[in-house]
Amino acid sequence: MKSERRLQLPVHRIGRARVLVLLGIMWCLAVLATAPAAVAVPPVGSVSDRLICLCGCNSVLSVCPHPNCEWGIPAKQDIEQQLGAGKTPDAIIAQYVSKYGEQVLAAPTKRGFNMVVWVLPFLMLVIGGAAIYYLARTWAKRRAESEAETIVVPASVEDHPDEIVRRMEDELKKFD
Amino acid sequence: MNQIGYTALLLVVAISAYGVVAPLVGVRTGRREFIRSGERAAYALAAVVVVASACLLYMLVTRDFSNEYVASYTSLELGWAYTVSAFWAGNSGSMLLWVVILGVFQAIAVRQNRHKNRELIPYVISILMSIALFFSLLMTLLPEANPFKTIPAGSVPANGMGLNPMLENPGMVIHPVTLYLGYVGFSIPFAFAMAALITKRLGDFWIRSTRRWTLFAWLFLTIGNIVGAWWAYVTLGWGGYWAWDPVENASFLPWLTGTAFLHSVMIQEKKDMLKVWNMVLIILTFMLTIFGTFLTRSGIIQSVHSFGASQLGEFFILFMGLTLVFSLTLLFNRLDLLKSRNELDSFVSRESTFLLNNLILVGMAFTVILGVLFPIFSEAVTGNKVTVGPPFFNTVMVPIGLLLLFVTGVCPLIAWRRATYSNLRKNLIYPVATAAVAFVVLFVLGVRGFYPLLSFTLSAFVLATVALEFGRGTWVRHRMQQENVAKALVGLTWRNKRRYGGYIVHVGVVLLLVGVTGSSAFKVKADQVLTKGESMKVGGYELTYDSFNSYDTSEKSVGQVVFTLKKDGQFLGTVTPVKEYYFNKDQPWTRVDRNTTLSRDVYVSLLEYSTDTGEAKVEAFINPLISWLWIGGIVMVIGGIVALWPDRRDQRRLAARYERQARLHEV
Repeated sequence: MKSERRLQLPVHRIGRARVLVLLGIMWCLAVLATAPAAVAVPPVGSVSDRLICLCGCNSVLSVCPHPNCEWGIPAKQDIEQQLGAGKTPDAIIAQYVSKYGEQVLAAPTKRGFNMVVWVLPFLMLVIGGAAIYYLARTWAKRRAESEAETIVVPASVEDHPDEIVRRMEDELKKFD
Repeated sequence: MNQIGYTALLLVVAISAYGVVAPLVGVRTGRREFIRSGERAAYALAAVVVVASACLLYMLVTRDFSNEYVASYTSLELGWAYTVSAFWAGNSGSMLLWVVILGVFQAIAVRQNRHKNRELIPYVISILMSIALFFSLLMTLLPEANPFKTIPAGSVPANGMGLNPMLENPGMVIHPVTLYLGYVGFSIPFAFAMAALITKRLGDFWIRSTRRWTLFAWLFLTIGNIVGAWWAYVTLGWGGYWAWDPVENASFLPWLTGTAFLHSVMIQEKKDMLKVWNMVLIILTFMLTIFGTFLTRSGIIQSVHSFGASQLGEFFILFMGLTLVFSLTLLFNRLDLLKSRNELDSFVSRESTFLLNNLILVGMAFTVILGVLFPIFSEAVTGNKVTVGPPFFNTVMVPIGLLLLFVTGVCPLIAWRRATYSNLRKNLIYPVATAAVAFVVLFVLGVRGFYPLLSFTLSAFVLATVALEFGRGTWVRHRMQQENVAKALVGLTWRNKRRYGGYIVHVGVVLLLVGVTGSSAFKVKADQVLTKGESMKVGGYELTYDSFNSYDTSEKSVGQVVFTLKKDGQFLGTVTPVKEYYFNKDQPWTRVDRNTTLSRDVYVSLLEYSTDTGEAKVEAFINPLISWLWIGGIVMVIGGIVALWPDRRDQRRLAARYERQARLHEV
C-alpha cells in the first residue's frame, strides 16, 4: 500500500510565521488601498453617498428613507446646484465638514485617532491568526509527544461524570 | 380586560421571583419538593404570560381604545393581520412578546430536561426566571413599558392613531417575531451553560442537551435577518436592503457569534476541546441578544429602526452589566475545571479550519461592535463626533467576508484529525478547476473589478466543494446499496442531517453572497422628473409614464403612476409605484414597485407627484442578481430545518448517555 506523505508545503523553509505575517500585512494594505467596488452613480451620488443625513435617521444622505426629509432634501438640492456650478465633490464635502463637523461624513477619515477603527479589525485578525497558528502547532506537538504515553485519569475527573462517560464510550467504540 | 392583563403581569412578576428562589432553596436544603415547585412555576409562568398576551391581543383585535397601546398602534381602518402585528409594534408589546416566548420556551425546556438533567434544571429555571423577572419588572414598574396602561374614561378616542406605515408590510408581521424567537432561543443554551458552570458538570452534556435549541435560535435569527433585509428593500424605497444601521447591526451580531458557537461546539463534541471558548461564545451571544433588544427599544442610538425612545436604556445597561459580571465571574472561577488536554493530530486538519472560521466570525462581530461604538470612543478621546456608516463597513467587512467564504470552501476539503498532501490534492483539484473556469468565463463575459471577480470565483469554489461532498457520498451509497442516484442523495442527507443540512446552509450563503455582490457592484440608478408620455432610461431599460391616478381614503391620500417597462423595444410589463400621505400621522410614504426576474430587479420609487400638472419625480434602480439573495436565504432556512430535524439515532445515543450517566450517579 502506498504510504501517504504528511503535508509539507515549501513555505516551511522560510518560516511559516513570517509568511503568515507578510500575508496579513499584504491583505491589510490591499484592503486599505482598495476602494469599494465601483458603483455607477449620478453626480449627486458622488457627494451624497459620502455624507450622512443629519435628520436623525442615521442613513447615508443618498438613501435617507424619509420622503419629505427636512435636512436631506434641501441638502441634495444644494449639492446638485453646487455640482452644476462646477464645484468638485471633494470641495463640496469639505464645505459640509467645515459647516457640520466630521460627523457629517458617512465614514471616519483615515487620519489620526480615526485610524484605530480602520486598522483594528485587520490587526485583530492578524494577531488572532498568529495565535491560532501558535496554538494549533503547540497542540499538534503535544499530541505527537503524548501518543506513546499511557492515559492517566486525573483525580479530578471523578467530579466530572461526563468526562468518565465520554472516555468509557471511546473505549467501547474500539470493540465495535 | 386591561385589569386582567395587568393582574396577569403582576402574577408573572411574582411567579418569576418565586421561580428564581425556589429551585435554589431546593438545591441548598436538599428538599426536592422546592425544585419540583420551581418546575411547576415554569409551567405557571408560561400559562399566566399567555393569558396576559391573550388579553392584549383581544383588545387589539376588538380595537379597545381605552388601552393606550391599542390606541397608539391600531385604527379602525387597519387590516386584521397588521392589527395582530401591532402586538410588537411598540416597546411594551415587544417586551411582552419577549416574556411570552421565554415563558413558553422555558416550559418546553423544563419538560424536556426535568428527568434527564436533574442537576442542571434547578439552575436553568432560576436563570431563565431571572430574565423573565427583569422584563416583567420593566413592564410593571415603568409606565412607558406597560402594555395595559389605560386612557381615562372621558378621553378615550373614537379611533386610534394607526400603525406606522413603515410597519404595514408582510415583512414586519414576520421579522420581529422570528428575530425574537432567535434572541430568546439563545437564552436556553445560555442558561444551561451557566447551570453547567455552577454545578461543575462541564462535559459536553449541556451542549448536546441544547444543540437543537441552539440550531432553532440560529435558524430563526437567520430568518429574522433575511426578512428584515427584504422588508427594508421593499419598504424603504432607496433600492438597497442593508444599510449597516445600528439596529440592523444589533441583529447581525448575535447571528455571527451564534454561527461561531454552532461550529466550535462540534470541536468540543469531537475532541473535548475549546470548553472555555464555547462558554465565552454563548455568553457573548446571549449578551448580544440583550444588546440588540436594548438598541432597538432604548432609543439610545437614533435609527430608522428605533421605534421608541424611552427610559428603558438605564435598566437594560444595569441588567447587561449584572449578567456580564455574573457569567464572567462564574467562568473565571471554573477556569481550572474547564482546562482540557488540547491536542490536535495535525496542524493541517479540519479542526484548524474551524478555529480559523471562529476567528473570522468573531472578527466580523468585533468589527461591527467597533463600528457601532467607535463614535462614542472617538468623542470621549478626541472630543470629535464622527459617524461610522456603510462606507466603513463595506470597506472592512467585504474582504473579511470573502476570507470567510474561502474558509467555507476549504474546510470540507480538509480531513478531520490529519490531512495528507495526497488527499488534499485529490480534494482540491475539482473545486480549484471549477473556480478557475468560473474566473475565465466571468472575465470573458466582461465582469471586472477585484471584489466582484473574487466573490463570484470563490462562490464557484465553495459550490464545487459542496457538490463534491454530496457527489462522493451519493456515489458510494448508490454503489453500496444499489439505490438510484436521487434516492441515494436523499438517503445520504437524511442519514446525516446535521452534516448535510450544514452543507445546504453553505450553498444558501453562497447564493446569498452572489445576490449581494451582483446587486451592490453592478447597481444602476437614475432619477428624473417626467410628465405623461415621457420616458427615462436606466441601465438599458426604458420606463414610460403611462397614466396617473390619485384618490383619498379616510386615513390617507394616494397617488400612483403606471409605467410601461421595455428593453430593446420589447414590452416587459408595467410597474406602479405609489406615494401616500397619512392624515393622522402627517406623514408621507412611498411604496415601491418592482419587475423581478432571476437576473435582475427593476425597482421604481415615486418620490413626488403633482395632481395639477401630473408631473412625477421618479427614482429607478436596476439591481442585478438580487433575487439570488432571497433564494439563498430560503436555501439557508431549508438547510437549517434539515439540520434541526430530529434524528432518531442521535436521540437514541443521547438517551443511552443519559441513562449511563444516571446509573453512574446512582453508584
